[in-house]
Amino acid sequence: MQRYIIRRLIQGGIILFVLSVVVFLLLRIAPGGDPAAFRCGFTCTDDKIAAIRKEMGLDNPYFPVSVDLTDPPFVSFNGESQYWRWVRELFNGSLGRDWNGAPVADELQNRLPVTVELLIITLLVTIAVGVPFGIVSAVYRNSPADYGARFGAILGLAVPNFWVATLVILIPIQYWDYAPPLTKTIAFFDSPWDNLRQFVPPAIVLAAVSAAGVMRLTRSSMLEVMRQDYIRTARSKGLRERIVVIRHALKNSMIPVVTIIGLQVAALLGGAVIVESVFNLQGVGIYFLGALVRKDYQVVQTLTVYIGAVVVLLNLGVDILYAWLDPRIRYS
Amino acid sequence: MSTKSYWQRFERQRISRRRVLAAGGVGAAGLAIAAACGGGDGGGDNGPDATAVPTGTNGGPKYGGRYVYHIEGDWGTIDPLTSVGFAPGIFPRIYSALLDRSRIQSDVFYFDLAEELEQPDAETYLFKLRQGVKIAPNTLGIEERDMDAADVKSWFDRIDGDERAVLSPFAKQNLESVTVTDPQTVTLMTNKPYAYTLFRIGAPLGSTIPPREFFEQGLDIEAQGVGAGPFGTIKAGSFSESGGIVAQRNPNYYRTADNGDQLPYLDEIEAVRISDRQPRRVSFLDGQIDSYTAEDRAEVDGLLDDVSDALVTETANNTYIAFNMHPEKAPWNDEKIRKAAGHALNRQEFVDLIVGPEGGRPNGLVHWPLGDFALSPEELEELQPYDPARSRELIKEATGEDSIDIKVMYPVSDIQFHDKHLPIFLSQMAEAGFNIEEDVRDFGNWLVNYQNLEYDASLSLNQVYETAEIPLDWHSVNGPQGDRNFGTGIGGLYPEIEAAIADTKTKTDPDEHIAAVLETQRMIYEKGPSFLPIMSWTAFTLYHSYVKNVPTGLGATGLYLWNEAYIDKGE
Repeated sequence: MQRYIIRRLIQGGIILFVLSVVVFLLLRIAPGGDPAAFRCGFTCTDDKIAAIRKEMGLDNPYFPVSVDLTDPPFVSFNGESQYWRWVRELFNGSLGRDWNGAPVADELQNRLPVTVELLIITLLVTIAVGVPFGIVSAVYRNSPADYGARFGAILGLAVPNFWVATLVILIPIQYWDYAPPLTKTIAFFDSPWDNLRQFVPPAIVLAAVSAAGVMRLTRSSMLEVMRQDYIRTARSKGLRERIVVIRHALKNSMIPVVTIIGLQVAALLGGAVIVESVFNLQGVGIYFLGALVRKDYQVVQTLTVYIGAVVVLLNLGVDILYAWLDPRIRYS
Repeated sequence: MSTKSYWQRFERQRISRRRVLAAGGVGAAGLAIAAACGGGDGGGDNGPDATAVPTGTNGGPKYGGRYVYHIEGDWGTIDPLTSVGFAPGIFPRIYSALLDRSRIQSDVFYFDLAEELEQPDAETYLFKLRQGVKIAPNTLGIEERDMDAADVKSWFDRIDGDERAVLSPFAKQNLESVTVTDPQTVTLMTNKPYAYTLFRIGAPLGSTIPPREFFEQGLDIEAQGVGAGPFGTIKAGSFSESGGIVAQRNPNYYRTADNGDQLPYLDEIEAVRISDRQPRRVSFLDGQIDSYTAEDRAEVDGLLDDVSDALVTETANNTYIAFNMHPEKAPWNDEKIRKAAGHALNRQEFVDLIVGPEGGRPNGLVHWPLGDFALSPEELEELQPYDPARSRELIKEATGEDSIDIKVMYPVSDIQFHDKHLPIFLSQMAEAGFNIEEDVRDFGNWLVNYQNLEYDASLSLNQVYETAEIPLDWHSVNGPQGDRNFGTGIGGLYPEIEAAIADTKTKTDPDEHIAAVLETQRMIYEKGPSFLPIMSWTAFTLYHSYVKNVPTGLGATGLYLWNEAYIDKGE
């Protein structure tokens, strides 16, 4: 197992290196103009834009090494390069400065806890709603409970979360003069109650889609497991149905569900962009969106690699979890 | 305690154009609103007047409380040298400017760090600084001393040494020297008469002056701030780059109210960043923020159903979308085709369909919020009438056909109202004989092409111009930045127009300046303008009724005047 984990981590490192080169290049070759000109705006002069390019490091070549097949010895080494500067900043933790001139590390330090808390609560709601309803739906197949749960799941998948989010803040203020705190992010340890008032509504909105997916997958997985021979054997031994479902069926049906929950973290980050905006949570999602719009290389490439690293680690975690859920799985 | 409105206490008076000072009689607390020269009661036909806003009842102003307002985006750092976007709103609260000349009412001056200005000649500005403009208590180790001429000099030195400075183009092109005579006297000399000097040096954007210790001691001015403004201390831990800050009352602030009250009344001013409109609106309705800028008049009416006692202020926006033609390229090098474009645009229809008749007005070459500098609606009706039939006639005279193929570049953008302008523009132009090939770009690409003049014609999005200078410069051969970035105007085709535009900048006498700007617009209309601003709109801001003494009607200059605002929730 240890060797397997080490091998996967090395593979992950290679993936992240390739990802870093790809995102670095794509940002620069994609249409959309010069971020320095963007930042410089409508009052730009040539001198001003040159100063901004220098500040952002955009006056350096892309890579530490340049290849020119028409000019022997074909390879030349550059001093400072944009890629090397970025990688150096990634490793030393400074992360450079964003389009506004603010340190990216400071921004992430402020924003990461917001998004992480939102995602944790969302995952908790997703599991708390999706798994039990999936089980009930499978166990009481074709009953009103099953139909109700499936209807709810389809509704959750069908309704766009920006619309639900808007309703969630507009209806309470209209009818009950109530609104969650919207002006600034409240840390849990500063005021637990206000923090939950702020985070639970967006988490429920975000979880609507993911819980629906988990519910449907749990249901289908449970139905498949319930048809297995060992379930029939368990029943024939006279075990109570509750024991059959929870001890014998549930754990085995969880493997695809765990996979999907792991992968949903990355998908939830996408949904977080909109929900953070509607609930005015100053998290990573809203930061990423703003950076994309204005071609903020430093932020987009840094966050892409970080998100890539999270996905790599989550996949590894999910694989390890498989072995715990199904002892037949062995890694070597 | 005076029960007169906030603004009624300030009179305008005619004083020498060579000597403008914060005379004690103008405002006991040192605020000077003076007709610097010939402006009379100011405002003019086009300009909005400073709006009188009801003061508090039940005993008048109260100390304490926090005013919370929203901004819509990041501000990154809070270094007044370089920070743009949403940060300028906070700078006049923390720091002081020498003086600010209202860009909406050009005859209104607010004297802050300076209490007197003398102009012995057209290039010299001699400022006598006020004594007692004292730095707020702080934990940065900056002494609670009076701001003086060395602070001013240090600030201009920093502008001179940093190309990124907001005022860098002004300093490079116009500033000859900054000289300190004594701690209370500083002299700015321009290298030629420059009519916009006083507009530039007081603007909240790039012109507020921090204590020199920031630079002498290498303190981090990007995330910290201490100044001599009414809210001169930033609350520890309150600043975030994403747009949050709490500025705290400066007990050393130099101004007092008429009744001798030490100003400001508020304990704190807080800016919170709320990017999305719905949470902004809900926050206002819930009382989490104290003011809210509505999208248009219709939204104001809807909000007043819920908050019927809210105060609504109207501020003319110096913002517009324009149609920009490249006059060195065919067909726009033909004045008949340019004039045809002018006749094609029914600017009133843009107003009616986008913001409603009460929400804005059609623009001439200088936009209407600039008051006396803009041509009157009646004259505009003569100079640029909507007449699609005339447009087709002009096209026929120029080409022999009654329609013409043109290519227009524009970006995909969510900038305010752009999506609403676009279909109206396309429809009106088509009706007047222009067959448009749409050259749609992403915003960044559009910006680069726009900057490099790689277009035949382009829509020019949300320009924000606080003086008449750049609107006229669009018609100069060197364009709005003086270096042929973004645009080149018909000045290259008509030397007399180039000369007239240059001449407007030298008119340091305000009356002569206004007359020159108006006359130059008329000249440009004669030759067919290459840059056509469409319309500017009004910003409607709602304040909860407990926010009192809200300064309005002076545009950004009002930001300096929050020292007499207060909160009265009747508690």
